[in-house]
Amino acid sequence: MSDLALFYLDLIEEAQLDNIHLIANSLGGWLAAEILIRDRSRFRGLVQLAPAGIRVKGVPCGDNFIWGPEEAIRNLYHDQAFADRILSLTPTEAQMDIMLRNRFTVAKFGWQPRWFNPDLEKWLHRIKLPSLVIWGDDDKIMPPANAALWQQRLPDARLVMIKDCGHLPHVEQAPIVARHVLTFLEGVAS
Amino acid sequence: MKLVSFHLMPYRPLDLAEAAKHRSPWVVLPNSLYDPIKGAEEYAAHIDALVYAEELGFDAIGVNEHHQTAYGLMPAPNLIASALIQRTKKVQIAILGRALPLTNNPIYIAEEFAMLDNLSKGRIIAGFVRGIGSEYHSSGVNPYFSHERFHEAHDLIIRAWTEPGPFAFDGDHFNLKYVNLWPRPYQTPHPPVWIPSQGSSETVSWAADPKRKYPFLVTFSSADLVARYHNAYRDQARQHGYEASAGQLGWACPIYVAETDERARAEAGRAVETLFNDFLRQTFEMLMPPGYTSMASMKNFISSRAALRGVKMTADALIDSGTALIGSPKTVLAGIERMRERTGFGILVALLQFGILSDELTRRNMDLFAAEVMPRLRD
Repeated sequence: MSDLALFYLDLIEEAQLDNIHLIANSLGGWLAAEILIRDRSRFRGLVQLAPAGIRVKGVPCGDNFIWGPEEAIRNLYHDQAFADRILSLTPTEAQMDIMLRNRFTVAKFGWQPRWFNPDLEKWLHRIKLPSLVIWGDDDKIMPPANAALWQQRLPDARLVMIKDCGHLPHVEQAPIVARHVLTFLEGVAS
Repeated sequence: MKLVSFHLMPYRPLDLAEAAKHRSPWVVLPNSLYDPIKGAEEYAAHIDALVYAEELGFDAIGVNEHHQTAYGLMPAPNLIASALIQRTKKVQIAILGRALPLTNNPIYIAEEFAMLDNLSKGRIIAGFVRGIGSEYHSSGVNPYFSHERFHEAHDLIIRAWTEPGPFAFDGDHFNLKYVNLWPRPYQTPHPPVWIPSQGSSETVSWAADPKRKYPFLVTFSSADLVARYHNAYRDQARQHGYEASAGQLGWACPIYVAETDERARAEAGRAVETLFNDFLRQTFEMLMPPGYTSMASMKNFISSRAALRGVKMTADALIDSGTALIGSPKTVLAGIERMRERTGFGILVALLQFGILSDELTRRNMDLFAAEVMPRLRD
């Protein structure tokens, strides 16, 4: 994760990007935090959607490595109509390859300890940026109990819990999430 | 031919109907289904069966390591090996094997094997394995680094056994300032190393390397697959410029002998089905955690899996494919001889108790194997 964070910081420097708003989900949320604790100078704000990376002791995350393919998709959503739609599609071989490669890569980062870096939480105070944390109240992968800890540790964070929503709020409750994000971005700009 | 009487030590009193309600008898099966009173009797009976194998003239008796499963009650096989040392005199004791990547300090494995080798005055065969996929779920060890950790742990153990200590070991996964075994192994240069495997090409090539020439045991596969892996090993050896000996090729197989084929199938059919359908039952996600094998191997596994999904194996199918040798002494011998003709293998690891097979039938099986089959296999 450390390598990946520094790689992105190099990339951003090389591309001379500035005033970046970082919006991240899940494993990406973990990566966003790893980037920002190292160097936040080119960033304006952070939106975290059910990020991995820290844990509340005694509150386990879902074991998506042991779930079967259908179970894994169903457990992503509160509203099973989303899962049904995805399950009705047959992925191409190229898509299967990408999914398999993703699975290998996320295992490398997150198998042990599962989905968190024990050293991350204590440095979250370095992310001195306006932040918005969004969480589905029926997230079966990243426990909703983690949301409060993020809000507590980030220096300037607002928390929005979304009702009837799983691990992908931007998919499952897109209009609500979009409204919250737009309001947040306007607030940061003003 | 070298004959090993091998045991998995399954928990036979398992409520199979109840177990079937769970994802698998591995990792997630509630241990409230384990009854220590019955379990203690299981240990006693299984150890008795292995001790009896010495009396019958087997060259070695074998145990192995599996974690958090009703399939086998030996998370710490060296404890059983230690008990066996005290109750036997001459027979070799094969630990097939210890799962090297699952430990955070492989020195402990080197030490324990060295202790057992001294306790037994040189009767130990040291098996090295990676552990099956489910064990990466139960141990928490990251499967992505399984191969790397296996190779590094192997190198560390062999150096610990053979190089004068103390020395420092500087690896990517294991770093030790002082490697200095007390005791050193009894055998020189060290206990024989065997590699039980499901047959990944990577493992075959590594085991056949002239620096190692480790005997390679193919476990629980159809006769065609066993032959393919044995011959793959032979090919690798030839590419390295030598001819593999019979003693480098092993076959681990459930075997049951009775007076007639019909009687053997009647007595052992259900038991062998419980081995494959009940005790070994695991999902793809458990067997193949990401990184446990290469991406290519995993894709092969996925494509072959569609056909396997939900299909229960019958005793007839297991016997017909040569995955299990069940029949009269003549039938069982013919199965072994056929494989000998195909591959020239020289180590037979016989699983003479499997699934729910009772003590009484196990004993009868062992007696008949020793009386009718064993003499014909002596070269």
